[in-house]
Amino acid sequence: MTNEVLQTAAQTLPHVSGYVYPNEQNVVWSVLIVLYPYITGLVAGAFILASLVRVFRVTSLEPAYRLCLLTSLAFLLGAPLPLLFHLGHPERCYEAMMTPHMTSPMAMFGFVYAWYLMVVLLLELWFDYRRDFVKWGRVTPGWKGWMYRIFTLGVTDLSEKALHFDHQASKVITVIGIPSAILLHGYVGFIFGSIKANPLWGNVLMPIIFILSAIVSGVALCLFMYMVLCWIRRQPVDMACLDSMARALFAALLVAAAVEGLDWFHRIYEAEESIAILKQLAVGKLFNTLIITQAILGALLPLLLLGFTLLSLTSFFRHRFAHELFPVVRRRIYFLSSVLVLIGVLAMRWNVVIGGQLFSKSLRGFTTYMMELGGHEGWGMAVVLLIFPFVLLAVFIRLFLPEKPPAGGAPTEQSRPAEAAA
Amino acid sequence: MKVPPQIVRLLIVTVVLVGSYFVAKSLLTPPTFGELGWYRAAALEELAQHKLTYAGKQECEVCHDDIWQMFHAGKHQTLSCEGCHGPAMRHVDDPENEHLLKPGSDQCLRCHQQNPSRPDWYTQIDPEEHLEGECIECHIPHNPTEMPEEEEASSEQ
Repeated sequence: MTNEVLQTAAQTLPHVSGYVYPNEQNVVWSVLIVLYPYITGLVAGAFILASLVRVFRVTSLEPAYRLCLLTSLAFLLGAPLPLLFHLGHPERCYEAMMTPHMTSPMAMFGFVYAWYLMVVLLLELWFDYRRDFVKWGRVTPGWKGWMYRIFTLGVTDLSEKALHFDHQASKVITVIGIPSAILLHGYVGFIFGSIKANPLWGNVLMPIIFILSAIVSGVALCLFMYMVLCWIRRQPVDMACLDSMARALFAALLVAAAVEGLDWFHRIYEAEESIAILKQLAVGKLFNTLIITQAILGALLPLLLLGFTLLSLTSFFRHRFAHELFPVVRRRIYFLSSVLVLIGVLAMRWNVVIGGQLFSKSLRGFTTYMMELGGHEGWGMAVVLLIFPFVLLAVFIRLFLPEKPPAGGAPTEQSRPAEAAA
Repeated sequence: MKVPPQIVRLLIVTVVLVGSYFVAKSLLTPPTFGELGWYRAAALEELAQHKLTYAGKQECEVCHDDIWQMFHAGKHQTLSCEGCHGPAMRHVDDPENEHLLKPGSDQCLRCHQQNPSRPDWYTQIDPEEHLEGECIECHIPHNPTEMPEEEEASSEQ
């Protein structure tokens, strides 16, 4: 036992500088806890982009509507996996639901998650897809046909009245879904923001920062997926849809960057006793992920790129230069911006989760996060868990967003995004 | 007013899902859960069956009264014996065959290595400058202000 303690100390101490309490030497919330808010944020953001179509009637986004919802679903199903693997005993996860503790914020997240999955996302998808499930179920043979027929839940009425009800119900669910999506991700921000012992986390702005960055990352992911899907299917991209997504991304990124800037401005001006170590953290251990990746590559550069590109679409620019930027240039800029934003938001999650554990509560020392390559919380597992929702999304797209609808099934506008636009 | 078929089916699905949850909850919740608090009451009995590994400070006094007296006269009196010597239950059960670990200088340096974040009044050393050989050659860990007998003897001469 003593030898084990000494060995641990010998391994750990070289990575510690200044004064660090014994229980702060190792970073316990690992990269998997970085992935968890990242993936949850993508869910909330993708749903809010989809809601622009139903609630706010942004019709130009219609071609990407279903893709946004399916993206949201695929990532929602992948969101709890990092938590389960981090806890080490995934087979025990049901216990949190069987004996729910109403005063534990983390335990209650299971119910927030279940609400969002069952009451919001699956219901909205069901009302939106019911007509297609009925039609596809009639003409598709084999297991796929069975699956579509089961998904109708036996409601095969395709009268105008029934379809109108579907549409109205879908709208109502979206209205409920917006605050639910905000609750889903605001809750993650709340978990960090309510830890008052940690000066980097304990901040009332934290839920707002998380929600805004979630919207940014979700919009960027939908833009990225839409372009990748069109590219794989060799279909032309609907530029009106893409421009709308880019506008939404620009607006969300502008607000998110402003609020995060305000957070740091407030901290620096307020100059509480923790500010000295937070400044050291920002320009030291987090320099690459905070200053370079999150602020410059993940926010400033996409803002400039998107800002100039969207400026070229204004009548002022067209009048002066007689032409907007060519679509091919715009597409590349949008694609690059979405990738940069996705990396920037991942860096933001890293900075919050890992950054918050790198400094001591004594405010007089730092530790180092050593990430293993293998192991159940290493690079390998992180990459697998990050890729998993994309694999799930690929399956969903193949089943529910077919390039060509099953023979005999009437093609819908939503099921053929690029063709409809082309 | 006729209820739309969609709502009827969704209600059925909801009832089935919620019903399944409550059935699962009644089957999977451990029988003694909640009797004493938000945990399984039977767990207390199970935990009490675990073999002890730490003996506690009082057990050491029974056989090592001399060290105990010295220890409580010195600056280290608030520390736990097992903090440096490791878990002692096996040694208490079988003192002849199970021996405790004798900690080396590394153990002393865990607390006394020079560190600018430690307060000035706290005894700290730079091992490269101060340490020659083992700490116990000049210090008695059970009462660090006393010198080992040999050293005292040689200094008297």
